[in-house]
Amino acid sequence: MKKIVLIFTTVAAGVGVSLGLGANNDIQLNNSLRFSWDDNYYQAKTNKTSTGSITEQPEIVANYNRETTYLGLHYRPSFTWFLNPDIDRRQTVQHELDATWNQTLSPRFSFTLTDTLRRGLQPELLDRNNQFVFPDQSYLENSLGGSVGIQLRETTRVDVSGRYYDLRYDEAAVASNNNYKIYSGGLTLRQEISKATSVMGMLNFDSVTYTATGSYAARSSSTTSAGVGLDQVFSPRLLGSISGGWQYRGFELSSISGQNSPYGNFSLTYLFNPRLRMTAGAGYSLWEATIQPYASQERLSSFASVGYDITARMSFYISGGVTRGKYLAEQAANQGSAIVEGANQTSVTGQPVIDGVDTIYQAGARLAYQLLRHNWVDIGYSYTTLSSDLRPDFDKNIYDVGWRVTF
Amino acid sequence: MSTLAATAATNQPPRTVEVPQLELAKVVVEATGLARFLPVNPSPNDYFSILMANGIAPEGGWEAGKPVNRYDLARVIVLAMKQGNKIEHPENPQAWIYYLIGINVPINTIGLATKPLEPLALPIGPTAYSSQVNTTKRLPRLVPTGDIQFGPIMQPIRELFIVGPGPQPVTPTAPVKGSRL
Repeated sequence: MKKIVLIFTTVAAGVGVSLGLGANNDIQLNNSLRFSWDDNYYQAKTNKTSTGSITEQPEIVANYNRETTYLGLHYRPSFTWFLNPDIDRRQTVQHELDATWNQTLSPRFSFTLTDTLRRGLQPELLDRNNQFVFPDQSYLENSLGGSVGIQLRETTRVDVSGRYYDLRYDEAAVASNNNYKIYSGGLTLRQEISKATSVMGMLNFDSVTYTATGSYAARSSSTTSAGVGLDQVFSPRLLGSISGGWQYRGFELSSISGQNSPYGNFSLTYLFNPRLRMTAGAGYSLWEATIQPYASQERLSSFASVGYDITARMSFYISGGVTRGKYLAEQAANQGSAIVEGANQTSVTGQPVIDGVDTIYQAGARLAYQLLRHNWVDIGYSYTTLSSDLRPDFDKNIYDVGWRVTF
Repeated sequence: MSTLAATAATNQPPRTVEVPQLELAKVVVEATGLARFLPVNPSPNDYFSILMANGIAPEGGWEAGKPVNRYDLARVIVLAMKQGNKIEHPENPQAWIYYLIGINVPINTIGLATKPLEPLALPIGPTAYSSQVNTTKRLPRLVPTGDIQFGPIMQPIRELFIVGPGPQPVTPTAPVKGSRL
Protein backbone atom coordinates (compact mmCIF):
# COMPACT_ATOMS: atom_id res chain seq x y z
CA MET A 1 0.00 0.00 0.00
CA LYS A 2 2.84 2.32 0.91
CA LYS A 3 4.46 1.62 -2.45
CA ILE A 4 1.24 2.42 -4.28
CA VAL A 5 0.95 5.68 -2.41
CA LEU A 6 4.56 6.47 -3.24
CA ILE A 7 4.01 5.78 -6.93
CA PHE A 8 0.85 7.83 -6.89
CA THR A 9 2.63 10.68 -5.22
CA THR A 10 5.43 10.53 -7.70
CA VAL A 11 3.12 10.44 -10.68
CA ALA A 12 1.07 13.24 -9.21
CA ALA A 13 4.21 15.29 -9.00
CA GLY A 14 4.77 14.62 -12.66
CA VAL A 15 8.05 13.03 -11.88
CA GLY A 16 10.25 12.08 -14.76
CA VAL A 17 13.20 12.81 -12.53
CA SER A 18 15.96 10.81 -14.03
CA LEU A 19 19.63 11.06 -13.37
CA GLY A 20 21.32 12.30 -16.50
CA LEU A 21 24.34 13.72 -14.75
CA GLY A 22 26.48 15.51 -17.24
CA ALA A 23 29.68 17.43 -16.81
CA ASN A 24 29.47 20.16 -14.22
CA ASN A 25 32.49 22.29 -13.49
CA ASP A 26 32.66 25.34 -11.33
CA ILE A 27 35.42 27.65 -10.32
CA GLN A 28 34.53 30.36 -7.87
CA LEU A 29 36.76 33.15 -6.69
CA ASN A 30 35.99 34.89 -3.43
CA ASN A 31 37.70 37.55 -1.42
CA SER A 32 37.28 38.54 2.18
CA LEU A 33 38.71 41.60 3.88
CA ARG A 34 38.28 41.77 7.63
CA PHE A 35 39.17 44.18 10.41
CA SER A 36 39.34 42.68 13.89
CA TRP A 37 39.90 44.07 17.34
CA ASP A 38 41.35 41.69 19.91
CA ASP A 39 41.40 42.98 23.50
CA ASN A 40 43.91 40.38 24.76
CA TYR A 41 46.28 39.32 22.03
CA TYR A 42 48.84 37.79 24.41
CA GLN A 43 46.13 35.75 26.12
CA ALA A 44 47.25 37.19 29.45
CA LYS A 45 45.41 37.09 32.75
CA THR A 46 46.37 40.67 33.60
CA ASN A 47 48.07 43.54 31.76
CA LYS A 48 46.18 42.78 28.59
CA THR A 49 47.47 44.04 25.27
CA SER A 50 44.90 44.89 22.65
CA THR A 51 45.44 45.22 18.95
CA GLY A 52 43.60 45.73 15.73
CA SER A 53 44.40 43.56 12.77
CA ILE A 54 43.55 43.40 9.10
CA THR A 55 43.10 40.05 7.42
CA GLU A 56 42.99 39.58 3.67
CA GLN A 57 41.68 36.21 2.47
CA PRO A 58 41.38 35.38 -1.23
CA GLU A 59 39.72 32.03 -1.86
CA ILE A 60 39.39 29.61 -4.73
CA VAL A 61 36.70 26.93 -4.77
CA ALA A 62 36.76 24.49 -7.69
CA ASN A 63 34.45 21.58 -8.46
CA TYR A 64 34.91 18.95 -11.17
CA ASN A 65 31.84 16.75 -11.39
CA ARG A 66 31.36 13.78 -13.70
CA GLU A 67 29.15 10.70 -13.69
CA THR A 68 31.39 8.74 -11.42
CA THR A 69 34.00 11.27 -10.34
CA TYR A 70 33.96 14.29 -8.10
CA LEU A 71 37.00 16.42 -7.44
CA GLY A 72 36.73 19.35 -5.08
CA LEU A 73 39.41 21.88 -4.27
CA HIS A 74 39.38 24.71 -1.78
CA TYR A 75 42.35 26.98 -1.24
CA ARG A 76 42.40 29.98 1.05
CA PRO A 77 45.51 31.89 2.00
CA SER A 78 45.18 34.43 4.82
CA PHE A 79 47.43 37.41 5.42
CA THR A 80 47.06 39.17 8.76
CA TRP A 81 48.71 42.44 9.71
CA PHE A 82 48.72 43.64 13.33
CA LEU A 83 48.33 47.33 13.97
CA ASN A 84 49.66 47.73 17.51
CA PRO A 85 53.32 48.83 17.20
CA ASP A 86 54.08 47.26 20.59
CA ILE A 87 53.38 43.83 19.20
CA ASP A 88 56.56 42.41 17.85
CA ARG A 89 54.89 39.94 15.53
CA ARG A 90 53.59 42.20 12.78
CA GLN A 91 52.30 39.69 10.27
CA THR A 92 51.17 36.08 10.04
CA VAL A 93 50.37 34.03 6.96
CA GLN A 94 48.17 30.98 6.80
CA HIS A 95 47.51 28.65 3.88
CA GLU A 96 44.53 26.31 3.91
CA LEU A 97 44.02 23.65 1.25
CA ASP A 98 41.18 21.12 1.21
CA ALA A 99 40.98 18.54 -1.55
CA THR A 100 38.33 15.85 -2.02
CA TRP A 101 38.17 13.01 -4.53
CA ASN A 102 35.07 10.82 -4.63
CA GLN A 103 35.18 7.96 -7.13
CA THR A 104 32.52 5.38 -7.90
CA LEU A 105 33.98 2.27 -9.42
CA SER A 106 30.82 0.17 -9.53
CA PRO A 107 27.36 0.32 -7.98
CA ARG A 108 28.73 -1.49 -4.95
CA PHE A 109 32.23 -0.11 -4.72
CA SER A 110 33.45 3.45 -4.19
CA PHE A 111 36.28 5.29 -2.54
CA THR A 112 37.01 8.74 -1.18
CA LEU A 113 40.33 10.50 -0.68
CA THR A 114 40.65 13.78 1.17
CA ASP A 115 43.59 15.91 2.02
CA THR A 116 43.62 18.84 4.41
CA LEU A 117 46.77 20.91 4.43
CA ARG A 118 47.53 23.84 6.70
CA ARG A 119 50.69 25.90 6.59
CA GLY A 120 51.10 28.64 9.15
CA LEU A 121 53.86 31.22 9.28
CA GLN A 122 53.91 32.63 12.80
CA PRO A 123 57.15 34.35 13.72
CA GLU A 124 58.31 34.50 17.31
CA LEU A 125 56.44 36.92 19.53
CA LEU A 126 58.19 39.16 22.05
CA ASP A 127 56.57 41.53 24.47
CA ARG A 128 57.52 45.16 24.91
CA ASN A 129 60.40 44.15 27.20
CA ASN A 130 61.79 41.83 24.55
CA GLN A 131 60.79 38.80 26.57
CA PHE A 132 59.44 35.75 24.87
CA VAL A 133 55.71 35.34 24.83
CA PHE A 134 55.67 32.70 22.14
CA PRO A 135 58.50 31.32 20.05
CA ASP A 136 58.27 30.86 16.29
CA GLN A 137 55.39 28.46 15.84
CA SER A 138 55.37 28.18 12.07
CA TYR A 139 54.09 24.76 11.19
CA LEU A 140 52.98 22.38 8.49
CA GLU A 141 49.95 20.28 9.25
CA ASN A 142 48.59 17.67 6.87
CA SER A 143 45.77 15.19 7.19
CA LEU A 144 45.36 12.61 4.44
CA GLY A 145 42.32 10.39 4.72
CA GLY A 146 40.92 7.62 2.59
CA SER A 147 37.90 5.39 2.75
CA VAL A 148 36.65 2.48 0.67
CA GLY A 149 32.94 1.77 0.79
CA ILE A 150 31.48 -1.58 -0.16
CA GLN A 151 27.73 -2.07 -0.43
CA LEU A 152 27.41 -5.67 0.67
CA ARG A 153 23.64 -5.75 0.35
CA GLU A 154 20.98 -3.14 -0.28
CA THR A 155 20.82 -2.36 3.42
CA THR A 156 24.35 -3.29 4.48
CA ARG A 157 27.49 -1.31 3.90
CA VAL A 158 31.02 -1.56 5.16
CA ASP A 159 33.56 1.29 5.16
CA VAL A 160 37.25 0.73 5.63
CA SER A 161 38.94 4.03 6.46
CA GLY A 162 42.40 5.29 7.20
CA ARG A 163 44.02 8.56 8.06
CA TYR A 164 47.55 9.84 8.22
CA TYR A 165 48.14 13.02 10.15
CA ASP A 166 51.42 14.88 10.38
CA LEU A 167 52.23 17.99 12.41
CA ARG A 168 55.65 19.61 12.05
CA TYR A 169 57.00 22.84 13.49
CA ASP A 170 59.81 24.81 11.88
CA GLU A 171 61.56 25.95 15.06
CA ALA A 172 63.79 23.15 16.30
CA ALA A 173 63.12 23.79 19.99
CA VAL A 174 59.36 23.63 19.47
CA ALA A 175 59.57 20.71 17.07
CA SER A 176 61.67 18.64 19.42
CA ASN A 177 58.73 18.11 21.74
CA ASN A 178 55.68 18.78 19.61
CA ASN A 179 56.09 17.15 16.20
CA TYR A 180 53.96 14.08 15.90
CA LYS A 181 52.22 11.75 13.48
CA ILE A 182 48.96 9.87 13.82
CA TYR A 183 48.13 6.72 11.92
CA SER A 184 44.47 5.76 12.16
CA GLY A 185 42.51 2.88 10.74
CA GLY A 186 38.89 1.99 11.14
CA LEU A 187 36.16 -0.37 10.09
CA THR A 188 32.49 0.63 10.13
CA LEU A 189 29.68 -1.80 9.42
CA ARG A 190 26.37 -0.08 8.79
CA GLN A 191 23.03 -1.83 8.73
CA GLU A 192 19.84 -0.04 7.77
CA ILE A 193 17.11 -1.59 9.86
CA SER A 194 14.32 0.75 8.76
CA LYS A 195 13.89 3.88 6.66
CA ALA A 196 14.57 5.96 9.74
CA THR A 197 17.15 3.91 11.58
CA SER A 198 20.65 2.62 10.87
CA VAL A 199 22.88 0.87 13.35
CA MET A 200 26.66 0.69 13.16
CA GLY A 201 29.47 -1.34 14.58
CA MET A 202 32.87 0.35 14.70
CA LEU A 203 36.42 -0.75 15.31
CA ASN A 204 39.23 1.82 15.28
CA PHE A 205 42.93 1.85 15.91
CA ASP A 206 45.21 4.86 16.06
CA SER A 207 48.82 5.41 16.90
CA VAL A 208 50.30 8.75 17.98
CA THR A 209 54.03 8.92 17.44
CA TYR A 210 56.12 11.85 18.63
CA THR A 211 58.84 12.02 16.06
CA ALA A 212 61.51 14.08 17.80
CA THR A 213 63.67 13.49 20.83
CA GLY A 214 62.96 16.35 23.21
CA SER A 215 62.39 15.93 26.91
CA TYR A 216 58.70 15.24 26.37
CA ALA A 217 58.97 13.32 23.12
CA ALA A 218 58.37 9.99 24.81
CA ARG A 219 54.62 10.51 24.91
CA SER A 220 53.76 8.16 22.04
CA SER A 221 50.70 5.98 22.48
CA SER A 222 48.38 3.57 20.69
CA THR A 223 44.63 3.45 21.13
CA THR A 224 42.11 0.77 20.25
CA SER A 225 38.40 1.62 20.24
CA ALA A 226 35.36 -0.55 19.73
CA GLY A 227 31.79 0.66 19.79
CA VAL A 228 28.34 0.82 18.31
CA GLY A 229 26.30 3.67 16.88
CA LEU A 230 22.84 4.68 15.81
CA ASP A 231 21.69 7.12 13.12
CA GLN A 232 18.08 8.06 13.62
CA VAL A 233 15.65 10.23 11.68
CA PHE A 234 13.37 11.24 14.54
CA SER A 235 11.19 13.31 12.29
CA PRO A 236 11.60 14.74 8.79
CA ARG A 237 13.26 17.78 10.34
CA LEU A 238 15.21 16.21 13.19
CA LEU A 239 18.25 14.03 12.63
CA GLY A 240 20.33 12.46 15.35
CA SER A 241 23.45 10.35 15.63
CA ILE A 242 24.84 8.67 18.69
CA SER A 243 27.74 6.30 19.20
CA GLY A 244 29.68 4.94 22.08
CA GLY A 245 32.05 2.23 23.16
CA TRP A 246 35.28 1.55 24.94
CA GLN A 247 38.87 2.66 24.42
CA TYR A 248 42.18 1.41 25.63
CA ARG A 249 45.31 3.54 25.32
CA GLY A 250 48.74 2.09 25.88
CA PHE A 251 51.84 4.28 26.20
CA GLU A 252 55.35 3.83 24.93
CA LEU A 253 56.79 4.80 28.30
CA SER A 254 56.51 1.89 30.64
CA SER A 255 56.26 4.32 33.55
CA ILE A 256 52.86 5.51 32.28
CA SER A 257 50.10 3.06 32.97
CA GLY A 258 47.56 2.26 30.26
CA GLN A 259 44.22 4.04 30.17
CA ASN A 260 40.79 2.40 29.92
CA SER A 261 37.91 4.70 29.17
CA PRO A 262 34.44 4.73 27.72
CA TYR A 263 33.88 7.05 24.76
CA GLY A 264 30.82 8.45 23.12
CA ASN A 265 29.39 11.25 21.05
CA PHE A 266 26.03 12.47 19.86
CA SER A 267 24.80 15.16 17.52
CA LEU A 268 21.41 16.55 16.63
CA THR A 269 20.38 18.69 13.68
CA TYR A 270 16.97 20.31 13.68
CA LEU A 271 15.49 22.32 10.84
CA PHE A 272 12.63 24.32 12.30
CA ASN A 273 12.01 25.72 8.82
CA PRO A 274 14.35 26.69 5.98
CA ARG A 275 15.08 29.97 7.78
CA LEU A 276 15.81 28.58 11.22
CA ARG A 277 18.08 25.63 11.97
CA MET A 278 19.96 24.34 14.96
CA THR A 279 22.68 21.82 15.62
CA ALA A 280 24.11 20.56 18.89
CA GLY A 281 26.36 17.79 20.04
CA ALA A 282 28.78 16.47 22.61
CA GLY A 283 31.63 13.99 22.72
CA TYR A 284 33.77 12.35 25.36
CA SER A 285 36.94 10.38 24.68
CA LEU A 286 40.66 10.08 25.23
CA TRP A 287 42.49 12.75 23.25
CA GLU A 288 46.02 13.89 22.49
CA ALA A 289 47.35 16.16 25.24
CA THR A 290 47.84 19.81 24.37
CA ILE A 291 49.70 20.59 27.59
CA GLN A 292 53.12 19.26 28.36
CA PRO A 293 54.36 16.97 29.84
CA TYR A 294 51.08 15.06 29.84
CA ALA A 295 50.72 12.22 27.37
CA SER A 296 46.94 12.09 27.24
CA GLN A 297 43.76 13.84 28.31
CA GLU A 298 40.16 12.82 28.89
CA ARG A 299 38.28 15.32 26.78
CA LEU A 300 34.64 16.34 26.98
CA SER A 301 33.46 18.72 24.28
CA SER A 302 30.01 20.11 23.63
CA PHE A 303 28.54 22.72 21.32
CA ALA A 304 25.29 24.26 20.13
CA SER A 305 24.64 26.51 17.15
CA VAL A 306 21.65 28.31 15.69
CA GLY A 307 21.26 29.98 12.31
CA TYR A 308 18.37 32.28 11.42
CA ASP A 309 17.65 34.09 8.16
CA ILE A 310 16.02 37.25 9.46
CA THR A 311 15.19 38.49 5.99
CA ALA A 312 16.13 37.40 2.51
CA ARG A 313 19.32 39.44 2.82
CA MET A 314 20.13 39.25 6.50
CA SER A 315 21.21 36.21 8.52
CA PHE A 316 22.13 35.81 12.14
CA TYR A 317 24.22 33.03 13.64
CA ILE A 318 25.12 32.22 17.20
CA SER A 319 27.28 29.41 18.48
CA GLY A 320 28.88 28.24 21.67
CA GLY A 321 31.09 25.44 22.85
CA VAL A 322 32.82 24.08 25.92
CA THR A 323 35.88 21.84 25.93
CA ARG A 324 37.01 20.30 29.20
CA GLY A 325 40.26 18.36 29.40
CA LYS A 326 41.19 16.30 32.43
CA TYR A 327 44.91 15.63 32.93
CA LEU A 328 46.42 13.13 35.34
CA ALA A 329 49.91 13.43 36.78
CA GLU A 330 50.40 9.69 36.48
CA GLN A 331 50.16 10.10 32.71
CA ALA A 332 52.91 12.69 32.43
CA ALA A 333 56.10 11.94 30.55
CA ASN A 334 58.14 13.81 33.14
CA GLN A 335 56.60 13.31 36.55
CA GLY A 336 59.32 14.96 38.57
CA SER A 337 58.73 18.62 37.96
CA ALA A 338 56.90 21.03 35.74
CA ILE A 339 58.82 22.67 32.94
CA VAL A 340 58.41 25.88 31.01
CA GLU A 341 59.85 25.99 27.53
CA GLY A 342 61.39 28.88 25.77
CA ALA A 343 62.33 28.85 22.14
CA ASN A 344 65.83 27.57 22.71
CA GLN A 345 65.94 26.56 26.33
CA THR A 346 63.89 24.54 28.76
CA SER A 347 63.83 25.64 32.36
CA VAL A 348 62.63 23.58 35.30
CA THR A 349 60.22 25.44 37.56
CA GLY A 350 60.46 22.98 40.40
CA GLN A 351 56.69 22.80 40.69
CA PRO A 352 55.27 19.31 40.88
CA VAL A 353 53.18 17.92 38.06
CA ILE A 354 49.62 17.78 39.33
CA ASP A 355 46.25 16.42 38.33
CA GLY A 356 44.20 19.18 36.78
CA VAL A 357 41.32 20.29 34.63
CA ASP A 358 41.58 22.67 31.70
CA THR A 359 38.31 24.19 30.49
CA ILE A 360 37.76 26.42 27.48
CA TYR A 361 34.47 28.27 26.95
CA GLN A 362 33.73 29.94 23.63
CA ALA A 363 30.78 31.79 22.22
CA GLY A 364 30.35 33.71 19.02
CA ALA A 365 27.74 35.55 17.00
CA ARG A 366 27.60 36.96 13.51
CA LEU A 367 25.21 39.12 11.56
CA ALA A 368 25.62 38.95 7.78
CA TYR A 369 23.94 41.24 5.29
CA GLN A 370 23.86 40.79 1.53
CA LEU A 371 24.52 44.20 0.03
CA LEU A 372 24.35 43.16 -3.60
CA ARG A 373 24.09 39.81 -5.31
CA HIS A 374 27.79 39.07 -4.85
CA ASN A 375 28.63 41.30 -1.90
CA TRP A 376 28.17 40.68 1.80
CA VAL A 377 29.15 42.59 4.89
CA ASP A 378 29.11 41.08 8.33
CA ILE A 379 29.89 41.93 11.90
CA GLY A 380 30.96 39.38 14.44
CA TYR A 381 31.85 38.94 18.06
CA SER A 382 33.51 36.09 19.89
CA TYR A 383 34.31 35.53 23.52
CA THR A 384 36.85 33.04 24.79
CA THR A 385 37.82 32.20 28.32
CA LEU A 386 40.19 29.64 29.72
CA SER A 387 39.87 28.30 33.24
CA SER A 388 42.67 25.96 34.13
CA ASP A 389 44.46 24.30 37.01
CA LEU A 390 47.50 23.86 34.78
CA ARG A 391 48.15 27.12 32.95
CA PRO A 392 47.27 30.78 33.33
CA ASP A 393 43.60 31.68 33.01
CA PHE A 394 42.58 34.38 30.58
CA ASP A 395 39.65 35.73 28.69
CA LYS A 396 39.42 37.70 25.48
CA ASN A 397 36.91 39.47 23.31
CA ILE A 398 37.24 39.82 19.57
CA TYR A 399 35.10 42.13 17.47
CA ASP A 400 35.30 42.08 13.71
CA VAL A 401 33.74 43.52 10.62
CA GLY A 402 34.23 42.03 7.19
CA TRP A 403 33.40 42.45 3.54
CA ARG A 404 33.12 39.45 1.28
CA VAL A 405 32.75 39.40 -2.46
CA THR A 406 32.38 36.57 -4.98
CA PHE A 407 33.54 36.97 -8.55
CA MET B 1 26.82 8.60 -6.64
CA SER B 2 26.68 4.82 -6.93
CA THR B 3 23.11 4.61 -8.15
CA LEU B 4 23.71 7.51 -10.42
CA ALA B 5 26.70 5.83 -11.90
CA ALA B 6 24.86 2.63 -12.39
CA THR B 7 21.80 4.00 -14.07
CA ALA B 8 22.57 7.30 -15.67
CA ALA B 9 23.04 7.31 -19.42
CA THR B 10 24.31 10.53 -20.84
CA ASN B 11 23.65 9.65 -24.46
CA GLN B 12 20.15 8.39 -23.99
CA PRO B 13 16.88 10.21 -23.41
CA PRO B 14 16.13 10.82 -19.77
CA ARG B 15 14.49 7.86 -18.11
CA THR B 16 12.15 7.83 -15.20
CA VAL B 17 13.85 5.90 -12.45
CA GLU B 18 13.55 5.95 -8.74
CA VAL B 19 16.45 8.07 -7.64
CA PRO B 20 16.74 7.98 -3.85
CA GLN B 21 17.03 11.23 -1.96
CA LEU B 22 20.46 10.22 -0.67
CA GLU B 23 21.80 10.39 -4.23
CA LEU B 24 20.30 13.84 -4.71
CA ALA B 25 21.84 14.94 -1.39
CA LYS B 26 25.30 13.76 -2.51
CA VAL B 27 25.06 15.64 -5.81
CA VAL B 28 23.89 18.84 -4.10
CA VAL B 29 26.59 18.62 -1.38
CA GLU B 30 29.26 18.33 -4.07
CA ALA B 31 27.82 21.05 -6.31
CA THR B 32 27.50 23.53 -3.46
CA GLY B 33 31.05 23.00 -2.22
CA LEU B 34 29.96 21.52 1.10
CA ALA B 35 31.86 18.26 0.60
CA ARG B 36 34.88 19.64 2.42
CA PHE B 37 32.94 19.76 5.66
CA LEU B 38 32.26 16.02 5.58
CA PRO B 39 34.37 13.24 7.07
CA VAL B 40 36.06 10.83 4.72
CA ASN B 41 33.43 8.15 5.29
CA PRO B 42 30.22 10.16 5.64
CA SER B 43 26.98 8.56 6.69
CA PRO B 44 23.62 9.54 5.12
CA ASN B 45 22.97 11.64 8.24
CA ASP B 46 26.25 13.51 7.62
CA TYR B 47 25.03 14.52 4.14
CA PHE B 48 21.58 15.50 5.38
CA SER B 49 22.88 17.39 8.41
CA ILE B 50 25.21 19.63 6.43
CA LEU B 51 22.43 20.40 3.93
CA MET B 52 19.95 21.15 6.70
CA ALA B 53 22.52 23.37 8.40
CA ASN B 54 22.51 25.40 5.19
CA GLY B 55 18.71 25.47 5.00
CA ILE B 56 18.41 22.93 2.16
CA ALA B 57 15.79 20.21 2.55
CA PRO B 58 12.72 18.82 0.79
CA GLU B 59 9.36 19.85 2.22
CA GLY B 60 9.05 16.57 4.09
CA GLY B 61 12.67 16.46 5.20
CA TRP B 62 15.38 14.11 3.98
CA GLU B 63 14.80 10.38 3.78
CA ALA B 64 17.64 8.32 2.34
CA GLY B 65 15.68 5.75 0.40
CA LYS B 66 12.68 7.83 -0.65
CA PRO B 67 12.52 8.43 -4.40
CA VAL B 68 12.99 12.02 -5.51
CA ASN B 69 9.97 13.65 -7.10
CA ARG B 70 9.89 16.91 -9.00
CA TYR B 71 8.44 18.87 -6.10
CA ASP B 72 11.27 17.87 -3.84
CA LEU B 73 13.86 18.37 -6.55
CA ALA B 74 12.60 21.86 -7.39
CA ARG B 75 12.52 22.88 -3.74
CA VAL B 76 16.01 21.57 -3.03
CA ILE B 77 17.47 23.28 -6.10
CA VAL B 78 15.87 26.64 -5.32
CA LEU B 79 17.02 26.49 -1.70
CA ALA B 80 20.53 25.49 -2.78
CA MET B 81 20.53 28.52 -5.09
CA LYS B 82 19.60 30.61 -2.03
CA GLN B 83 16.53 31.93 -3.83
CA GLY B 84 13.87 30.44 -1.60
CA ASN B 85 12.74 33.92 -0.62
CA LYS B 86 11.64 34.53 -4.20
CA ILE B 87 8.89 31.91 -4.05
CA GLU B 88 5.70 33.85 -3.49
CA HIS B 89 3.64 30.88 -2.33
CA PRO B 90 6.09 28.40 -0.86
CA GLU B 91 3.24 26.28 0.47
CA ASN B 92 2.30 25.48 -3.13
CA PRO B 93 4.67 22.78 -4.45
CA GLN B 94 4.04 23.82 -8.04
CA ALA B 95 5.35 27.30 -7.26
CA TRP B 96 8.87 25.93 -6.84
CA ILE B 97 8.68 24.16 -10.19
CA TYR B 98 7.27 27.21 -11.94
CA TYR B 99 10.01 29.36 -10.51
CA LEU B 100 12.72 27.12 -11.94
CA ILE B 101 10.97 26.95 -15.30
CA GLY B 102 10.73 30.72 -15.21
CA ILE B 103 14.49 31.07 -14.90
CA ASN B 104 15.09 28.39 -17.55
CA VAL B 105 16.25 25.63 -15.26
CA PRO B 106 14.94 22.30 -16.58
CA ILE B 107 14.08 19.73 -13.97
CA ASN B 108 13.70 16.69 -16.18
CA THR B 109 16.86 15.22 -14.76
CA ILE B 110 18.87 15.77 -11.64
CA GLY B 111 21.89 16.48 -13.78
CA LEU B 112 20.18 19.34 -15.62
CA ALA B 113 18.53 20.70 -12.51
CA THR B 114 21.73 20.80 -10.48
CA LYS B 115 23.82 22.31 -13.27
CA PRO B 116 23.18 25.94 -12.23
CA LEU B 117 24.28 25.24 -8.66
CA GLU B 118 27.43 26.97 -7.52
CA PRO B 119 29.52 26.68 -4.38
CA LEU B 120 27.70 28.54 -1.62
CA ALA B 121 29.17 31.97 -1.01
CA LEU B 122 28.62 31.73 2.74
CA PRO B 123 28.63 28.04 3.54
CA ILE B 124 27.69 27.05 7.06
CA GLY B 125 29.83 24.29 8.39
CA PRO B 126 30.66 22.94 11.81
CA THR B 127 34.46 22.79 11.89
CA ALA B 128 35.69 24.52 15.04
CA TYR B 129 33.65 22.21 17.22
CA SER B 130 32.60 18.70 16.48
CA SER B 131 31.36 15.98 18.74
CA GLN B 132 33.17 13.45 16.59
CA VAL B 133 35.59 11.28 18.55
CA ASN B 134 36.34 8.78 15.77
CA THR B 135 39.97 9.43 14.85
CA THR B 136 39.42 8.60 11.18
CA LYS B 137 36.81 11.35 10.98
CA ARG B 138 38.38 14.16 12.98
CA LEU B 139 39.19 17.49 11.40
CA PRO B 140 42.54 19.25 11.87
CA ARG B 141 42.78 21.50 14.88
CA LEU B 142 45.17 24.30 13.93
CA VAL B 143 43.57 27.24 12.17
CA PRO B 144 45.20 30.36 13.58
CA THR B 145 43.04 32.74 11.59
CA GLY B 146 39.97 31.36 13.29
CA ASP B 147 37.62 28.62 12.29
CA ILE B 148 33.97 28.89 11.37
CA GLN B 149 31.45 27.30 13.67
CA PHE B 150 28.06 27.58 12.03
CA GLY B 151 28.72 31.18 11.03
CA PRO B 152 30.68 32.77 13.87
CA ILE B 153 34.46 32.84 13.71
CA MET B 154 35.82 31.02 16.72
CA GLN B 155 39.38 31.82 17.67
CA PRO B 156 41.21 28.63 18.56
CA ILE B 157 43.11 28.42 21.83
CA ARG B 158 46.50 28.52 20.27
CA GLU B 159 50.05 29.08 21.38
CA LEU B 160 49.45 27.71 24.85
CA PHE B 161 50.70 24.20 24.48
CA ILE B 162 54.21 25.30 25.32
CA VAL B 163 53.24 26.46 28.78
CA GLY B 164 54.01 23.87 31.39
CA PRO B 165 51.81 22.85 34.29
CA GLY B 166 51.41 24.99 37.36
CA PRO B 167 50.40 28.66 37.39
CA GLN B 168 52.83 30.51 35.18
CA PRO B 169 53.24 34.10 34.10
CA VAL B 170 52.47 34.72 30.47
CA THR B 171 56.00 35.90 29.93
CA PRO B 172 58.08 32.88 30.81
CA THR B 173 61.51 32.96 32.31
CA ALA B 174 63.28 31.81 29.20
CA PRO B 175 66.16 33.97 28.06
CA VAL B 176 65.61 36.84 25.70
CA LYS B 177 66.24 36.01 22.11
CA GLY B 178 66.88 38.76 19.64
CA SER B 179 66.10 42.39 20.14
CA ARG B 180 64.05 45.00 18.42
CA LEU B 181 66.28 47.81 19.60
